Amino acid sequence: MPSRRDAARLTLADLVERWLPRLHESRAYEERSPIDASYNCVAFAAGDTSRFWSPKVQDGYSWPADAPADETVSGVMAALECAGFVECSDATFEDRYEKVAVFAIGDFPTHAARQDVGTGAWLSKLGKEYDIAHTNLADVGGEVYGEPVAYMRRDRSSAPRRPSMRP
Amino acid sequence: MSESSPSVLVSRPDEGRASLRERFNALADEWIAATRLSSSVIETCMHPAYQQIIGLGPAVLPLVLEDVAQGELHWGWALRALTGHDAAEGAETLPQARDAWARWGREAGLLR
Repeated sequence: MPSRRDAARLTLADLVERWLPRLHESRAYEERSPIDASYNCVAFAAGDTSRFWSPKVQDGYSWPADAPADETVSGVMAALECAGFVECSDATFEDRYEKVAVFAIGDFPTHAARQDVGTGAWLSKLGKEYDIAHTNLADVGGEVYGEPVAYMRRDRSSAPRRPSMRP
Repeated sequence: MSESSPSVLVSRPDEGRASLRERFNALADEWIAATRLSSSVIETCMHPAYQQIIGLGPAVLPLVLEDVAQGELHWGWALRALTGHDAAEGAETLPQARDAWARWGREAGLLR
């Protein structure tokens, strides 16, 4: 029997049309992976597709051990710092760096996107749904995710850092 | 005016069960649809529909566990609230937590 989430599945196009109007209008996106609710955007931005990063660490959720358990923009940035990212000024493609952008509504972090080091496009895990590639960072912004409020980067020449996690 | 049938006045246990299932299904579907784009556990588990499911009390446990057995990953918070127990203690991933709760449900006789 399909799970409830499977039964409620929408195609990516339907989901984008309903909730991400800028992306719907630009149509500059493509699906990169099927629906998977076991990891989220922050984990995906850090390169981890096995965990759902959350400062609330019970129930199978996990969070970098060295980051404060704080669901704010600075809390998410501290978590990404544990994965080797440092704050930078903007989303401009720089060949030497892998970049992430943190979206927020007020101080509530809503989304994180990672820049594809090969193409400069952006990669987003949409909540508990699909991974997508999108040409324009701002296209996933709007009512659901707000706007990008912080940018971080890590040096591509160093090995990606795997933070120790709680629990 | 016709006499009321006793079945109108006193609901049978299976009718209560069907009604609980309908209520659970409606709330769970609402919760999935409303939180599908969220990466926040607080937003996911504090959603009014999710909290109303917890408010249905221990009677809803077998229905939540059925969803767990079918693969849903985000029932841990509700299960802890409903049981006062943490079957997924120490789980590092959502699939691990889901599997721990499914085992607990079978051992407790709440899940076939």
